[in-house]
Amino acid sequence: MLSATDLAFSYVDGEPILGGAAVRIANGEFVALLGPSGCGKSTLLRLLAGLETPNKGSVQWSLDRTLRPGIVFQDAALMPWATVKENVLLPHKLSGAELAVPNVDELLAAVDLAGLNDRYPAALSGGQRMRVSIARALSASPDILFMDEPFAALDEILRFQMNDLMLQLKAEKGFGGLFVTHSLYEAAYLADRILVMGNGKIIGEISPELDRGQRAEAVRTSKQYLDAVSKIAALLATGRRENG
Amino acid sequence: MVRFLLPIGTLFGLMFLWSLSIEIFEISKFILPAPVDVWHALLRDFNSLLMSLFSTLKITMIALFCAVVSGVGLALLFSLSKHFESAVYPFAVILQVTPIVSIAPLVLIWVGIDNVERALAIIAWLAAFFPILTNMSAGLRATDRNLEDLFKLYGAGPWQRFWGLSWPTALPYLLASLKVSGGLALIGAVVAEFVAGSGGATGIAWRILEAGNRLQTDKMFAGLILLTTLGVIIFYGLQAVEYWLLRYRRNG
Repeated sequence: MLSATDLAFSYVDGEPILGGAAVRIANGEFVALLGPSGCGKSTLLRLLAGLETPNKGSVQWSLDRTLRPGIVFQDAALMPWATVKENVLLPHKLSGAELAVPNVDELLAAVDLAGLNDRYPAALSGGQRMRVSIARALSASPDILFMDEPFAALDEILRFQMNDLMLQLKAEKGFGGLFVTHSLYEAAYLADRILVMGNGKIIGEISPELDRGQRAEAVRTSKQYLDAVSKIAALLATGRRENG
Repeated sequence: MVRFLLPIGTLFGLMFLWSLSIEIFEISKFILPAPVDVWHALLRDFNSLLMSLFSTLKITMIALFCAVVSGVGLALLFSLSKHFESAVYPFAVILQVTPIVSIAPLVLIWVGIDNVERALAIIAWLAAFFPILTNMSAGLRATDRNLEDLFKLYGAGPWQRFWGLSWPTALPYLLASLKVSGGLALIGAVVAEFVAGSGGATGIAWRILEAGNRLQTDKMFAGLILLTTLGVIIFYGLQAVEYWLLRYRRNG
């Protein structure tokens, strides 16, 4: 439903950041982008989300229907002057009449924030703010969720909770997604497919094929999960050797 | 409560020392009147001083209003065009760094001969305008990068972007500069009245100047007290506006 071929990008007068990356994301598929700092992960995500225009190559969004995007950033990026409810309704307000008015109560209940509609962000904890930003991304009923290191600023326990929340929401709502992460564990746990990047290119691909029927702890200790983590680590190490 | 009582206690202590030193050193009331003399002067001339104070307040408010309109307007134009900013900003700096007292006589000659109030308002505006321009410019540049992306992703138009993102981001900057500019407008108005002298000015600064010429030192102090009170009221009034408009920043 989303594909891109031969993407190249550099800022004016700058070093090339991306050189010939190709990506395909199927409907409902969760894809992780992993790689060392400065390898072009975030740039690739921004190109695919349409926030930047590639110098070369193109991004095709599915032709059969209009693809609705959602986005989650590393920090919650809420409007401090607006209530939780107003923040969640922002995508609807901006895109106008195309979308049905989202049910804020339901969305907030889904991210475990029921009853906080009229709070301002200043009165929320870091984890609560992050969950508001997820509710905001979901309020546009996205087909694809772009996430740029979405939980990097959270502590480990909160991060695990958010990972499980994300999987649960994905199962309920059926959206696909592309997320950038620094954590191989998070990538292996969340993604259907992991793209490992190095030096502006995709250098390898892994599909963990976890048994999602099990409980979270069981998944995190399963052989498939640990195999995926070590494969990713091996790929990252190869990429580093080639660069160095 | 202690925060409120301490400065008042200090004030009474200082007034006591003031009265005492006048007694001990036998200072003439033309040089330094006792607090009680100042109080009597304040009661005696209260009506005329208050009328003058309102005249100064009017000039200050007109100047502050014009400073907000012009400062915000120019900052908006700056945010729209870098070239315009490069062309105009140096002149705003020149206006800012030139001492207001030295421009005031020129302004009075140009526009003050048939309408002194207009000249006073222009001088006060010159004093108040710059902080609003620079703060508002900084505020318009301070938008959250991620929120900008979000607005772009959902196809926001330029007006949605402005009212939904740029304006609320810049508002705290504008309100902070208002507190500075409110005081500067008052100072500008007072300076203008001093420079205008007897050329038709009727404000509180002119009353102080007039009392000085007549060696009514107690009345000078009375005028000064009213002027200071006005400055404090302007500051805390604007602070209250800020507190109310930015109430979302407080927890709970």
